[in-house]
Amino acid sequence: MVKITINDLSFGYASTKILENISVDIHKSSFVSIVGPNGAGKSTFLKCINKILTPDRGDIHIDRRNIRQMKRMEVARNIAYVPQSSNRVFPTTVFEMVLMGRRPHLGWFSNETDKEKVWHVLEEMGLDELALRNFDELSGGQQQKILIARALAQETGVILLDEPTSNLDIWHQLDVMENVKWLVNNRNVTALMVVHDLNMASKYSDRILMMKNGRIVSVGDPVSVLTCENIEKVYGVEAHVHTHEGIPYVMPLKQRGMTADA
Amino acid sequence: MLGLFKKQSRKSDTDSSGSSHRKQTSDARSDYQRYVGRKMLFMFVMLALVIFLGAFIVTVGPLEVSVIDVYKILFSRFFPDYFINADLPSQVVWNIRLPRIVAGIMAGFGLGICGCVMQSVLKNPLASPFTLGISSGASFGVAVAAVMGVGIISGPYLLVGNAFLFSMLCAMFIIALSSLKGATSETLILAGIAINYLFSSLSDLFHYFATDEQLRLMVSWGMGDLSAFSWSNFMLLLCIFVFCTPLLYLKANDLNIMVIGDENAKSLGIDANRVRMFCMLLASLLIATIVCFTGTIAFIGLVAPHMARMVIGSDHKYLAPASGLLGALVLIVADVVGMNIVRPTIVPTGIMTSLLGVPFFMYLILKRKRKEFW
Amino acid sequence: MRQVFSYFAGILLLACLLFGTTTAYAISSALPCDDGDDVLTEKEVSYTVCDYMLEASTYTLDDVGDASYIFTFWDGKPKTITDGHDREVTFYRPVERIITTNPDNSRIVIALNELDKIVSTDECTRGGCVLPRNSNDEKIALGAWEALQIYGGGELDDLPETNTRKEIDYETMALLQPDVVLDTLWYNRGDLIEEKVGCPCVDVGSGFTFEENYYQIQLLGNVLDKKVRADELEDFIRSKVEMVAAVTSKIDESEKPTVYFAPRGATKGFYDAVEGRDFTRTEAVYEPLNIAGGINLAKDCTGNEINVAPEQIVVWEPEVIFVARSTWDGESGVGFVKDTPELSEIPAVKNGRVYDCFYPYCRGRPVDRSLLNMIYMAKRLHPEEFSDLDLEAEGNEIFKELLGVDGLFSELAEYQTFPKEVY
Repeated sequence: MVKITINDLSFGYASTKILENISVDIHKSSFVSIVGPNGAGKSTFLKCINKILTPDRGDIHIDRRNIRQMKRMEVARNIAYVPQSSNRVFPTTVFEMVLMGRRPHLGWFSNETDKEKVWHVLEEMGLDELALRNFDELSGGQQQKILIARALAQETGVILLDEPTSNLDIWHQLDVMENVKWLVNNRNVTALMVVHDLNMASKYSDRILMMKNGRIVSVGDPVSVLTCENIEKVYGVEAHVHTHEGIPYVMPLKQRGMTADA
Repeated sequence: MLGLFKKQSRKSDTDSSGSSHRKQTSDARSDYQRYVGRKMLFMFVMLALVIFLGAFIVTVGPLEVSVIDVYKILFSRFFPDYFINADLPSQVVWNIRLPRIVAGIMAGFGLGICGCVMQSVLKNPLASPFTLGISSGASFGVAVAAVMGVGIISGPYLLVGNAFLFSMLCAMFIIALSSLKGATSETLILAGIAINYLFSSLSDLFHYFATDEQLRLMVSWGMGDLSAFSWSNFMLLLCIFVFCTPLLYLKANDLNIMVIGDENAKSLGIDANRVRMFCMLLASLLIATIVCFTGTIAFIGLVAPHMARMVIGSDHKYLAPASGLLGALVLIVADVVGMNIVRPTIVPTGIMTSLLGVPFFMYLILKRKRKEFW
Repeated sequence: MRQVFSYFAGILLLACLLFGTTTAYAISSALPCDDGDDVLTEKEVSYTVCDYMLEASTYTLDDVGDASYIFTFWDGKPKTITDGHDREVTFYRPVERIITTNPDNSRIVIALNELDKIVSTDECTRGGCVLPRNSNDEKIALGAWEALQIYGGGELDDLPETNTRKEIDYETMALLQPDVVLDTLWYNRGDLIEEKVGCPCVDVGSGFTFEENYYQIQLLGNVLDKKVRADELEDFIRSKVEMVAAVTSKIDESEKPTVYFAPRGATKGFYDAVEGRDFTRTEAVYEPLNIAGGINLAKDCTGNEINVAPEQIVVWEPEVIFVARSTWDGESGVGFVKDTPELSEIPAVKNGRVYDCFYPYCRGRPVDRSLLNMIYMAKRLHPEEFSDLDLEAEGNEIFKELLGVDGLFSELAEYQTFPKEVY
């Protein structure tokens, strides 16, 4: 549905370069995972795409429109962002949380149509019983699903997810991944997900983007990216890659020096 | 169409929360309708209480005027041809009691709504309308006026004018400062605290040089008092009030989103810094206007939003007006108690507000369910 | 959008409604029995009087009486005076009922023999600032309390209290229907009082120069139509000032001792952190001291009430120190000054010239204490020149003139005994 073109993107705080010369095309309705060691600039990359951070150099085009020329509200109508977690000072009910996703589409009033859409999303995801619960009271898995529901309510062509599975047990990890995959397949959504679990990335993504030190090391389908050489180069870890039903699975064996964070 | 995941998700709910499932969809919706209905009811009750109490308080005072006479006097202002009344009760009701009540309602409402807005945009439950150093600025303005007699306008409005000028100066300075540095809520709060210290020490300096009478003037101003409000300064307050509150209220949706953090807000299309600046500016303007007429009644701005949040939740479309109504309610009740509890001595409104408000607030804190709020 | 619109419309409607009603507030601003031109002519007055006598009048006896008064004494016109804030205050009725909000004004009203017109007053007038009380807030000099009878009988503290230093009860004030409220200069609330109480309000205060006292006396004399008595009172004070000044003006400046004046006493030492005042607090302007033939060391300081460093007092090398005693039976600060090692090298301490004096304040600048201090300080500073001046007789005369009571000074000297040292 939407194609994202990123051309020569650079971003940094003061003298520290976080992202350097990133150029990549993301095809429509594909599931792209971004992997890489901590501090590789993965989250920053997502935030640049979403205009939360403004890049120093380079352009990002969504359907050939430069997001620099788009208003923030317009970006929000095209790209949804699912944060890793949402820390709130004040309590918010689940319904209100999901309703926030409608904000880019409405004026001052949340009219019945918007509320109907929120109910619809909640019901689709089986969250309607939680509608009046307090967001903070819920389990990590439920919270993550609600944040995804919010992105869904935003009705955008692109969803960015920042480590949505990091705090979850494997059941919920699979649950979240299945949800996203379903969106990509049935709703033509383009999903960009930062994820640490290489096996999850491998199992669900169409393409994997491997980053280190603000640069793209490798990009392509899981089989071509998840190789022993790439993993050793990026993570400094000796690993065994085992292919099952055409999907590569990574089994880390041992560290190689202390290069992982360098 | 999402049958597969519906089933799975249902299962996940059962697994993780252990609650009985298979509630009908319509149940959740009707629960929500009832929830909204409760909020509306609460708002309505609050509004009715404020009106009722205002109408009751106007009949209370040392001058014995019957309830009917009081309303005859009030209506005679609107329909002078139909009601005729004596001078003295008319003077008392119209020029003494009513301005006090109107001032109480407007000041309480303004403080409540501004407190709510500031807590949300600063994402800090300890923020109050005076976080930006407004009260210390105002106190300093009063100190300058009292000790040196210097101000932008002279005459009876010297104090008021100075209080307003300096509180706005303080707020503007902080807002300007933090807009240079990106206006995160932390910058605003820190700058506010710093400015608070600066201006309180400046006021202390003036206290040191003040004569006995000037000192009294500053101290009694600092306690907060509604009696200085009169019809002649009503229009100014009303204009600012009518200008600020609707604009703040129009930001209700954005305020809801502000509390989930700047980055999240940005991803939903809200420019967090701009919204914060806008709200802080309007709130400062309104607070400075209220403060220069009534002195510092700090407690309401801090606590009314919390009280409202405990009862009504944190949807600002309900929360903001509810904070305002609660603020107005607490202030007029405190004022009438302060005026009448140890007659003929009057207890200053600011003191009475805290004396009455704190126990009520404590009760709410202890009563609330664990983890329900904050 | 419709809801937003209706919200705005509602607010605006409310605003208009309130606006329409606030424009008109009025205090009674017409002469009694007047035909509307603000001048009472002989014809108008005589017709009203005749009508009244024929029982054909709609006016009350009060109205007719006031009208005759205004015609006779005010040329039939409203009386306008300018008060201490340069506010124009217009009176449409002679003053029969007075509310005072501070002891300075109460004292002058009493001195003008108009105590029976005061209908309510402030906490300090009722307390110990016009008539004395001891530090337990009990009345002393009971004879004086009894001698000053208020309207309808009773002592000063039987008057209703309508304001304190912090609060003001407008409603009770309005309830008492005063003809004038006499407020201090400090609060700058004359217009507010006029609007809320519905009667003229005059802002006037006292000071530490006698000119300020004369101004206050004359202004209040004018407000209360007591010009003759006001002149008499001013002449009395002038005569006392001249009596002392006549002697001291002949003394050469070099003969006059330098004085450090500590009007706030020294009960807590150098500096009291709460009130910010004690021994290091002094007055730059205190005319009674100058007239008494002393050189005020703080005279060149900026400001009125100022705090100085203890070291500054040492540097000034005062030859005499006056320490005030704020209560009639309170402790003296003299002991502190004499015993403190920091001050031991000061000439005044070495030569034993540290004296008590009268507390010059009491929620204001009481003129009686200014006069007493002037005479007392004169006797202290120049004992030989003033050896024939009888402080007790003068003190009693001052209280007699101001309060109309006999022997008050002698009685007070039983509580505050230091004046006896210079008898």
